Amino acid sequence: MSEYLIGLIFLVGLWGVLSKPNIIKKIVGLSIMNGAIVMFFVHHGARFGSTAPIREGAETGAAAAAVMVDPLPQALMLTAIVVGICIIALGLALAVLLYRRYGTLDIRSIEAEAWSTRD
Amino acid sequence: MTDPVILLLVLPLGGAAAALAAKLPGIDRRPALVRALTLVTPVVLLGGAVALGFGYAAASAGRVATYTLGGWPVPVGIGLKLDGLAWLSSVLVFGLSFLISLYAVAHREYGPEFYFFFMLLVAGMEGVVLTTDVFNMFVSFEIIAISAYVLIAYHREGTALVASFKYLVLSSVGIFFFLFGVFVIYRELGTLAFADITSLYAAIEDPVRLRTLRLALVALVVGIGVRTAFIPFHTWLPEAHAYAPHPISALLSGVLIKVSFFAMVRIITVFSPGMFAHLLLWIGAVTAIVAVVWALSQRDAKKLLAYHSISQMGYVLAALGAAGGATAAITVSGGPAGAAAAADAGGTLALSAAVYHALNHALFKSLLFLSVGTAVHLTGERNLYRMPRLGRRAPLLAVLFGVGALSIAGVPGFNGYASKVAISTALAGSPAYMLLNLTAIGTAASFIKLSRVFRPGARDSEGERAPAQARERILPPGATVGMSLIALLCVTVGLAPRTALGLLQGLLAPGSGLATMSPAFAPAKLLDTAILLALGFVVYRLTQTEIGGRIAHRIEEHAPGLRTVLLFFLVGVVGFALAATVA
Amino acid sequence: MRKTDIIDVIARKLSPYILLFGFYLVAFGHRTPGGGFQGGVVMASGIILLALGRDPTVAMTAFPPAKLSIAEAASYILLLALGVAGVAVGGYFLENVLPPGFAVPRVGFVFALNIVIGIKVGAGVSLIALHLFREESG
Repeated sequence: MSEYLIGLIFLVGLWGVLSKPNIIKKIVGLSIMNGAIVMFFVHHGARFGSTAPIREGAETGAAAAAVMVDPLPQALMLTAIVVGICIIALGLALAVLLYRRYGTLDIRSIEAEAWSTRD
Repeated sequence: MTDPVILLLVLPLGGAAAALAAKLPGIDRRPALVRALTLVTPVVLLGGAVALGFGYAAASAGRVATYTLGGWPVPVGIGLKLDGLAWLSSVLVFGLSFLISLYAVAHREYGPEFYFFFMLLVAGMEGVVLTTDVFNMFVSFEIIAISAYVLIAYHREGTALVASFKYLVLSSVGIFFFLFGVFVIYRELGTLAFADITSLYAAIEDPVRLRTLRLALVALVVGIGVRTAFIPFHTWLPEAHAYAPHPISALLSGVLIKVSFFAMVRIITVFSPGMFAHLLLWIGAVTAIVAVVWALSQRDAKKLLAYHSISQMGYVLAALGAAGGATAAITVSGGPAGAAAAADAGGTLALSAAVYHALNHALFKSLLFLSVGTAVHLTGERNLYRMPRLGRRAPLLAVLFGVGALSIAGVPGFNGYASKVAISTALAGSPAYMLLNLTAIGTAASFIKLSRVFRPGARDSEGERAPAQARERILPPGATVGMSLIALLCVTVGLAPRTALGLLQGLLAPGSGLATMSPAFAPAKLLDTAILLALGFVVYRLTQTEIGGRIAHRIEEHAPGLRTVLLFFLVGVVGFALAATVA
Repeated sequence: MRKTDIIDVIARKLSPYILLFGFYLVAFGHRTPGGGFQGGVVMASGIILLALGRDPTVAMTAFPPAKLSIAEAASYILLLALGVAGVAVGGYFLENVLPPGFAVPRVGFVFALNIVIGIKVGAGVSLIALHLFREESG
């Protein structure tokens, strides 16, 4: 059930990217999509237990695995979050430059103006 | 004992560090030192290429070099693998980036940041080439993407910014689909390493799980498809490649789309070789013909070249589709699948033809982008009808452009012809081949059109434009060396087409029975080519008539906006998903 | 829109603690949840809070962007050096170079990586934000 809800969040992000003409909102949409993916992984990683996957020495393999989260998705998602941040930051930087160049955040008017002055 | 594969990643990262060091205080105020640090870029790239040269004997013998980061074994740690395909792609990455960086360094208009991202791009491409698991492929693709966005927007011109932003939005959406595919794989199989995926996928019986995993493969292919830019994911490419700085156009069109193409081949092979074969064959053929129509209609010289990149990748994709299950030869050496693949001589030939054309396209397209880029740089004009003719002023440039143009048009004796013959042998009898023949006509026509820039004109030398840059050297020595080497490679491959193909097959499918293509210079082939070129000239004349010009103008105006681009993408996703569930 | 004193005071009082907490995450990343990236981002958020809650110029005088970019470049080069150190002692890239039984425990390598990554990420993320703020105010 919760996986379908996360899927819904992914689609919300996709809808934002698709339908919003404002470039900041498009970037927010991308961020939502990224967040949904992270939730997919983290949710799946917590299927066994929910404590942090750090061995303090007391518990051994199987007993520890029963209460700990799956550490691999967390490691992966940390990387994915880093990558996501880079993309979002770069997108926002481009948005700032575009705004200063064209004076608007509406991608339709930006594109119309960019291609009309291309020659 | 492990192999020094990590060198291929550390070298470009170290080059990036050198470029970054040029920004440290104390260094940044000393131009000579900054210049020296930017020169590290070509040196490092040459070093990588030379190191790969030493690995040739092992790669052609079918030996797979491996490496694990930090010494942790593969399922836990990050593994790297250098097999035949990876060796070829690495040579492409290092060799061509080296020649392109010579051009960039010679022009002295790029700062240390440029070289930092240039090296990061190379490191990302090497990451994609060498990785052995899906997640690191994602990370490497994103390293590529981030450096590419920055490099495209490097000059901060309005059009380049828009192009970069469009590319960012589309390829990020694509890569999130890719990541979703990674999630589904992890959820279903509990592993992300290529080798484990292959064995676990082959063992699946349950049809529901099989379908889920096929949809995951669709998500992966779609994500990479955006980077490879075939229809319907191509829409970002013309602008991004056309408005990027010239060396970056060459790098993106020449190297990057090949690297993502090879990644796609690998991903499909990891799951089930031959998947989507029929779909890819037709997508390739349609991509080739549609993109060439658009290319023929462009007046912007660099955009014309960018559309041709899409079109030529269509050829490659069609050949890959024809290869079918033979792609197994790349990753599976030995075993039933490998044996079957080795036995499938026609498939092996098609696979080699696809890779052959991809490599040849890398050579001539980067040569074309560099020469046309130089022309744009010299004249300050992108519209090919308004550019002053350069033939007399820059004869060497005209010759270099000529080599590229003759190659892409498929004139015998140049490398484009060699791989087109290989593809025609592989696709013989397929209806899709008709479309590729039409494409060849369009290609010839559009390069006759583009060549007007380089023809010796009546008033080309002095006059038309204020010669602000007239006294500047047309090609700095470094750029001349880089471009001439690329041209030399084009001609060499073109003159020895079968030898080159044999080398490729030895790397891609070591030990398999070598399928040889039909003789390249057979009279029938030459006659066919002559007819196609003549038709190309006719088409060129037609586009110069009034009606032709009007149609061309219509098509040129028809550039999709960002929203249309995204809708195209979704259509592609649905299309691939349908193909996967039906198969 | 006028900024109230409440935000000003809270931002001023809170951001040093956020920086400290970020450093704690970096320093104990090898044995508690946290690590270089997370700690670095928390440190950066302290700087960003200062810039947002008070004024971008305040944050920029406390953390001059020029110095931050030096820190970023230097930590990138250091990180690469740490990675290559593994190769240099005859092992793998990013392999732990500290021998067992050495005066410094082996976990020190992870600690060093965390510190370098923390500086890199903290400086990088705050630089991005400060650049954006500068565009806005200038």
